[in-house]
Amino acid sequence: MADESVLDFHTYLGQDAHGDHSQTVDELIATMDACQVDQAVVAPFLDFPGPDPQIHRALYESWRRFPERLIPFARLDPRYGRQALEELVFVVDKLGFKGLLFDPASTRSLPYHPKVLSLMQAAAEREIPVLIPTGNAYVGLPEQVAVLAARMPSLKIVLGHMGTAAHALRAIHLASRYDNLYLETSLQQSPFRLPLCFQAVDERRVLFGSAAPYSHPYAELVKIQVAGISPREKAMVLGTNARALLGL
Amino acid sequence: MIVDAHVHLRGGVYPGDRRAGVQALLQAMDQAEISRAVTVGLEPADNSTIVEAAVHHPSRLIPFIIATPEEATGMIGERSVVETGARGIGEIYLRCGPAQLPEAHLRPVLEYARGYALPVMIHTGDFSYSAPLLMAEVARAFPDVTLILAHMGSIAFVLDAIEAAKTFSNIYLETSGMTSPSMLRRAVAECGPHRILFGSDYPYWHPLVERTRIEAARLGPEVTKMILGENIVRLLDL
Repeated sequence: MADESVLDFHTYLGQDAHGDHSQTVDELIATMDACQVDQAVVAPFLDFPGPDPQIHRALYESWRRFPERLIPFARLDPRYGRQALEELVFVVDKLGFKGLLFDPASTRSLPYHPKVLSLMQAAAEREIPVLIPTGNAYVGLPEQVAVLAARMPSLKIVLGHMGTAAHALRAIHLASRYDNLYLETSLQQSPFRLPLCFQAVDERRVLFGSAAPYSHPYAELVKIQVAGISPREKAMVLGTNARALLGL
Repeated sequence: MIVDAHVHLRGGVYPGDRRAGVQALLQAMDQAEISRAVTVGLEPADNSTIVEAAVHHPSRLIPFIIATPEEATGMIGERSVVETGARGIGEIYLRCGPAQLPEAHLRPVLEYARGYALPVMIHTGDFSYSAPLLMAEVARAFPDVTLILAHMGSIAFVLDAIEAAKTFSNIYLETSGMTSPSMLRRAVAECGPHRILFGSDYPYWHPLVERTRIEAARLGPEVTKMILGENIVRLLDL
């Protein structure tokens, strides 16, 4: 599929609250092999604290099995304040997790709410990126994330799904304004917006993602292939940019 | 034969996007090895372009015309849609507002469709009036009209779309923009494979990407063939 070394910036392990979507580490690695994806950022389907207190332990064990392939991100619910903060400290400082996923929709939390900021501050202090899924929900609009970006310019924020198709144009516009916003490509169905990303935004801030298993990495890679971007841009979006952001 | 059940001749994804048109569409279809495509409109002004393109490319393009509720009544009595070659109506965006039920708002269009035995494609997948379960009551009120739910609710509302199609046999699901392989497998398992139609929504999205989504779901060769073309061929009697 790709000559470039591919890093998928957005995948999940485990299963969601009702089992509608699930993915084991062996399934993920098999899919990555089939699609020639070298590395993937992985986060749990569920937030911590939540119904499964072992999500980060399970993710850690998967990472230990595939340390060269997986890049673990914590997934935390800021409504739990100190408990979430302590978990971040533990999984990043002790276990070595490389980033944080914060989902405004699943945690019903506005990204710029004062209660969220302490968690974001802790991420900024550790210089880890925060992946925030954005799109068709009342919480999780790109504009809401942009308020956070404005308040915390040292925090590197990845707009997961770059707003999906409905909000992508505005996500691109906002990323052109805030240097700490990155655009991640999964679930934004149109390949034809990708050239616009490179025109409007610093070319180092566009990242390939699949959101697997919410989409198949192969389809998401085809989207990059037909997008009409240059070989250099393709290499950047498929891996170079993500590795730079993660310090790999 | 692969048939794309949902393309447009105009539209774009950013200001100044000028890609759309018949030649670009045919090129994208060739790239994805798609034999034929159902061309749908966004507003009644698109109808003449759609019909004309289908006349020039009868082996490639299958025209749907669009009739809004406001204009459908006036269209009845005009030259028969059958004479234009139209095989369906759509893509309709439901704009009933908070003061009218969807089935009442769409009644002129649905009666028009029933009169000519045409399926109706309705956009689904966003909040408010595009939520697919709003179409369940419409399907109940018009059991003899086939409704095609474009985007099958997209990823946000796909479970609602599957629920609607499970309950009402006159609801078909069109796949464009619904990214989840497991939800596609679920739709096949719960609704059966006969009422699921591959679509791309070109020029918004790319037919090769959307076709890949179907193939990546590993539905087996028979079901994949049904979704990629056989079902729409049967529905439209092509």
